[in-house]
Amino acid sequence: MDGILIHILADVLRPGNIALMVIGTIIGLIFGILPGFGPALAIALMIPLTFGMDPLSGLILMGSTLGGGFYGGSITSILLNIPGMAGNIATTFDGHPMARRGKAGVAIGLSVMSSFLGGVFGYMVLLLVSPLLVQVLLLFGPPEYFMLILLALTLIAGISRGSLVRGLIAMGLGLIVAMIGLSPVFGVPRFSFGSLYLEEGIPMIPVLIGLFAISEVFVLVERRHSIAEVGRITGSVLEGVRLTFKYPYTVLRSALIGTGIGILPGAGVAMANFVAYAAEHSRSKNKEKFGKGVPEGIIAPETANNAVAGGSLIPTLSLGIPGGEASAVLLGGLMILGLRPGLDLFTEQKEIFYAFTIAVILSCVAFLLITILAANYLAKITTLPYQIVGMVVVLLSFIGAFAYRNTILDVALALIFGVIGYSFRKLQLSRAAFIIALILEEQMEVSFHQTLMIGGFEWFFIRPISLGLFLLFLLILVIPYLRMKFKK
Amino acid sequence: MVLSRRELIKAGILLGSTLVLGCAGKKEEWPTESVTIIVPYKPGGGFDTYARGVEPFLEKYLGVPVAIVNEPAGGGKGHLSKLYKMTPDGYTIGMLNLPGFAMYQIVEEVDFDLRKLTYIAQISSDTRLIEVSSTSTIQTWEDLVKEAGKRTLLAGGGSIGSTNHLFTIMMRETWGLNVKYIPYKGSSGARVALLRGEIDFVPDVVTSALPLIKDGKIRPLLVVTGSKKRHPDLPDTPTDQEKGLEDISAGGTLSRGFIAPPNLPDSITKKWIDAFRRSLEDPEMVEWSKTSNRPLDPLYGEEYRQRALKALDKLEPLKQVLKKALAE
Repeated sequence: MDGILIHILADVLRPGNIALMVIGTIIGLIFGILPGFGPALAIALMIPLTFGMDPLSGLILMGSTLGGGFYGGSITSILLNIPGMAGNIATTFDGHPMARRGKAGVAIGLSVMSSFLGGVFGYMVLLLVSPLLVQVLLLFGPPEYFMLILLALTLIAGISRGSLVRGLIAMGLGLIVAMIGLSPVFGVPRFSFGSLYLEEGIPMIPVLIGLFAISEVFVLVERRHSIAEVGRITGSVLEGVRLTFKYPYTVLRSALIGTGIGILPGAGVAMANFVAYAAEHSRSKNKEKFGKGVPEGIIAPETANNAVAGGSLIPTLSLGIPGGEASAVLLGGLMILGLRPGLDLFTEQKEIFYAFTIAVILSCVAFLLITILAANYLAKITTLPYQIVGMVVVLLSFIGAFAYRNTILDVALALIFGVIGYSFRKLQLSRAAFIIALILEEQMEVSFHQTLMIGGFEWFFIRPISLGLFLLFLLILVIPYLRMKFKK
Repeated sequence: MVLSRRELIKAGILLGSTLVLGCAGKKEEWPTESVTIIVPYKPGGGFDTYARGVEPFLEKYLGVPVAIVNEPAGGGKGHLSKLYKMTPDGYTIGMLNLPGFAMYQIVEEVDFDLRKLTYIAQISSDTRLIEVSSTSTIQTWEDLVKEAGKRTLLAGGGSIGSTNHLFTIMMRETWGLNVKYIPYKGSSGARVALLRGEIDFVPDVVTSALPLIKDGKIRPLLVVTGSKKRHPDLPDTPTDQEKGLEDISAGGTLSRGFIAPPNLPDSITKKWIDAFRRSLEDPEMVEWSKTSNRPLDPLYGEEYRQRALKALDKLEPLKQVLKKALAE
């Protein structure tokens, strides 16, 4: 590293800038916590505030909002079983069961420490080896995207609680709902019955809010008990922080998965946390313990979903191609501050690029400290009367569903999916499998048609990476049968 | 009667607000309250960025707060139908995408008519550009035409119905280019596909393509300015008119601007136009446009209306072709 980095670091660490960093992180955290808001909206609202600032302060404010926003959603995943955004869904699998055992503090400690490690890993990769990784991005064409999503969906159906068949049913339903609206390839409306609202497609955010937040309220009311079954909190956040370091390989694997998937535009955030969870699940010797609150089940998705942020900025900054919604909004803001996406970012515009990356890395430190300080208080939410928790969740859900596109129909949609989510739980169908299929269907369908239009069907099998992913997919399907035969 | 402290404060607020309202009432001139701009797309996109960029200056020159609301439902159609039915009081205005919204009107049954809207100001126009990857064997526009004689070329851009798609159809129908369209997630997705070598060219817009052109990853072949005047940012790239092609720039250039419901009273229209004119000429606004790489191309009132009518007239004869292409 050169002297310029130390020089910028000194600039970034001025008191005014540190204050901005704390403000940005807190706002990011709040937007991450509120269902349906997320980092993209937080950054969009920050952009006008940066107009009057000097570029460095603007970069710091946006960088720290991004950092905080990517973490905030984990807190509600653990405490309330409500993921703040799609990237936090897998965290609910083990994070919430742990909270219900009264160990909310420990779960938050695990999640914040692994998020910190994942985030820093992703941003360090961005800082050090971006130009190299851009080449990797160019290896992934339509057939590879299709196979990657096929593989991810198969993995996710496999980890759904209950049976594989139920996972596949939920996923199939998700794919069907995703097809409502204009066909992304042919531009004709499907299942829209002449309604302009349906023609737009079923939006992910109100569905996420309905399936997870509103259905959770039904369950709370039915259970008539505070979230923590024991009624009190045991274990502290620091215990969770320490526990994270007992799983160094889980952290490393998940950070690599997160950064790697983050680099591919469009696949990103929603997929990484599931794939990392599935990877740990398949390696583990005590599979039956997953879903009941094991530390690896929190560490893996949390490391991955924060590592995604750094990965998704690689195509955003070096090619001007946003890796996800949050980075698309961020790109707009950064360009206003004078940053030009392109490969000269790593040479001629080094100063501005370093300043931004340092700011996001430091914001990881900020959310780590803020969360550790607040965690033991936050954990008390799980001991509050269920009536209060339920009311606040319903209120925030409605606001979140409305704020997404300013239409009341989205609130109705969230309510409908609240009922559907509740039925899914009673029927033991996986809501996670449903929503991930809903999110990834469009990319999958588009990639499939692009492949047929450009290279024909054989394109799937003559490109090495695509073929490799396909073989991996077959392997996953065959392994359980082979195992059964072996046992006999 | 003894007033408690709380009641005193209440009384004070009442008195104060009466005074303020009284003054405002005396003014009795539009605008007396805050105005709203509806952006038909999500926060962070081009339309949103321009709206938020000009907002502080409009506040300065209108003298009232300006609120920005994003209503992306219906891909812009929803916002237009809603705006079309609103009372023309000047308190709510919207944004127009040309040629995008003109295409909706031509190929679909819609409940609005662009010919009747009140036109306030165009803020930017982005010229269409035909680009190939710098690793492509196609070096010039002539090479591209020659290659199209041998095989069907692949063009990429946003989803079906996007402005890239529209322009590709116009290239095929008017210029007779042998081309097939592949939809990607936005033109940025198509640009990566170009770099991967999957497709032959992208009918892009200049502002978005410039960074990659400067990096030497993309080669510009032709700018569709509709005149022999070259684009200031690409002085070495020939224009469509230099190559003797039919002028289809009205269906190519992406224009962003501000519009109001039909029959907005002239006095209010004049005030809006005036506020925009002063905002877009403000040195700080010009500076913003430069640093954020968001070039301005102001057109006001009647001139802007003519621009929109031209786009409609150019697209109208292609109605059947467009309908067929969208249902392909």
